[in-house]
Amino acid sequence: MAQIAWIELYEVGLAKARAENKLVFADFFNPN
Amino acid sequence: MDAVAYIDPEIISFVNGNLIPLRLAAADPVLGPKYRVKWTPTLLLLDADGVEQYRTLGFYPPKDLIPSLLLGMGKTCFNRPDRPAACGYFQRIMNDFPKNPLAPEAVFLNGVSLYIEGHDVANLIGIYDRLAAVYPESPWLTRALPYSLLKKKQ
Repeated sequence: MAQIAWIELYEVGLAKARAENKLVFADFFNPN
Repeated sequence: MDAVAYIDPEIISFVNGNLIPLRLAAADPVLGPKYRVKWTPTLLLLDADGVEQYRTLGFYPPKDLIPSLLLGMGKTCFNRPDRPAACGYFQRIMNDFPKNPLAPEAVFLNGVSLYIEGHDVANLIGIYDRLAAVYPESPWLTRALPYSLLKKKQ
């Protein structure tokens, strides 16, 4: 089943955004 | 968000195709304060430098999340400024999600973007006319009220 391909490392997310010329969709969530 | 929005096939496709999804704990000792996260879910659009471009707070059902993200993407382009690209996002909200509560704001920003690009007051008048016709209860109609006065000057 398809799912959102979440990245969990901030710098990795920014680097991917730069490489793909996209915005980051950051979800700050409560894991508890 | 996990139980409803993030398992929706349209949301999955939209987010994976248009954005870089990043999941962070609100209690992160560095990033929580950096982005002033006080409640969850806090949803942000960030540029590649980590600069916040758009923020929402609270739960979004699937039918409302895509219009919200489109509005944020449009506002980001508007501020760069890349108004033609911004119009693309705003017009997608207007055309694909006309009943969404964010649609009147998209009408407003689309008209403003067109006016900035072409300096044709018809675009400002058009904002008022469309809001008055389709969204008469929206507070965005009040914000566009001065544009109705431009009709007399044409």
